[in-house]
Amino acid sequence: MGAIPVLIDRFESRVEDLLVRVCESLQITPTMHSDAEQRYHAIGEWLAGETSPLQSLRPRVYSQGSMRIGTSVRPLSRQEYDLDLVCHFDGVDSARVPNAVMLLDAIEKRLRDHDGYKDKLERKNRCIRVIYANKFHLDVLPACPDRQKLNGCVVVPDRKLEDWKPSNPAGYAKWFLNQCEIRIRKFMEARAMDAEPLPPLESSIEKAPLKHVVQLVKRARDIYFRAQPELAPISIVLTTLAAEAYGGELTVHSAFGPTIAGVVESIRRSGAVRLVVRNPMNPDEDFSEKWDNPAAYAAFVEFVGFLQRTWSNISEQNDSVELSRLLQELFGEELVKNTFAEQAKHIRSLRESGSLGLKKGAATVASLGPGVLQIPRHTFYGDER
Amino acid sequence: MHAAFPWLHYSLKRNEIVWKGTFRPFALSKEYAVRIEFEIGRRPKVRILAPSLATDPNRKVPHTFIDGSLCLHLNEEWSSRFFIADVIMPWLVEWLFFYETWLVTGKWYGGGHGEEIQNPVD
Repeated sequence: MGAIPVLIDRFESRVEDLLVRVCESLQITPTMHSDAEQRYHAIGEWLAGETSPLQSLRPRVYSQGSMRIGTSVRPLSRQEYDLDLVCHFDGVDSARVPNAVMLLDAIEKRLRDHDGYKDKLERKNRCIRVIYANKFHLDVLPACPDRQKLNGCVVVPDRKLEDWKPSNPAGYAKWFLNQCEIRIRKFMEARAMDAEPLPPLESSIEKAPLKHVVQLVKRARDIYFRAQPELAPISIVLTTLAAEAYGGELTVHSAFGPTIAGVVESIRRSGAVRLVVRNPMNPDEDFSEKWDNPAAYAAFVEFVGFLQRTWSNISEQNDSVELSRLLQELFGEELVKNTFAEQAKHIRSLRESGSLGLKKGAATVASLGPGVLQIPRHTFYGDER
Repeated sequence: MHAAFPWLHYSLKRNEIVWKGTFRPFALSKEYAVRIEFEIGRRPKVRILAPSLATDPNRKVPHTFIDGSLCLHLNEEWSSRFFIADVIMPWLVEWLFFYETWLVTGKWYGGGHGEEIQNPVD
């Protein structure tokens, strides 16, 4: 027999299947993705193309944020997907710009010259937001090189401060994707030691458990802070903490618990003062400024504790109904019910294609293989009312 | 049967054999006490003794008979030449899987007779 996924014969594989399905349904849809991409290219061309008056500032446009690193999460109702775009001006020396806000104004002016954008703009503290009708917005963030530092560090204008703030979005994306690859080193080590059986390398490369863990944590955040979104920790903070704590586990299921435990440990180590989460590629950038508000930090600590407790209950579960209740608490009722439904449909399609069988002895549904009974054709029947 | 599923114990009556046992049919399921009775010339009857299948008195458990036994197949799909171990047990395990999904989602995804009726839009 070929590689038929073994789904529900072991706790780990069944939970893994459920978690990956949750993540897949959190992903932006392909239609929305190509829509977003199109708009991203159009706006990039308008800002940085040959006909743009900004040309003399040598603009480069690139994406940043969750779309770039593959951790985007479908928003709860009424929120929008956000797509972040950096407009990086190689030709600008921040020391020679009298006021940092001028860079934001330059972007805004260029966008106002376009009939398609001029009525869709919103000024934000660090970017100009373009709001599209169909559930997403595009943040255009101006940046220019930080001449004091190497490694792609930039400075970005801050409207309120009327000054520059340190950042490094491109370096951050590289760092995150590199953290995802820890598992490949782990995988090679494990294989060298000929330890326990491992999933095929291709599938584990494809999946990048860290990205899924980040998606799950962000989704749990959205659910947990539904009633008080102003206290919710921001995505980049959660992403950074998860990526720092991730130990290279090969599955989402085995990565989630240790990653959360790592975050709990970071909180413990920081003691009475709040945790400071910096951009690993530019330590002067504090992602966690919002935690200067003690209420926001306390809420974050509570949230992480909740994640850890609920996850530990999940790991001890032996009952799919109870498991579903716990998963619903974390990720939302509708999403989790749909996930169970999708898994069941998959099991049914395996049966219909003759790929589902039963191991004798253990009486466990497993994929068809040696020593396994194929499930004969049948139709569930019953007294109808 | 015993060789395939050692946790099942049987007793014999005149024309009838009854198997009983408790098992966990797949990863992440409850433990079920089951009773399978087979009378020569009739179709086997499968019942769940515990836990109780009906968790909500207002909802009929899908694919069960009025006497509470499970409907695993259409009449013509059963043949007395089948071995219970090879046929009824896989059907039972599968039934329990779709039953538990029904408990979670309120819908029956196992297909079968009356599928449209069994899946009202909630």
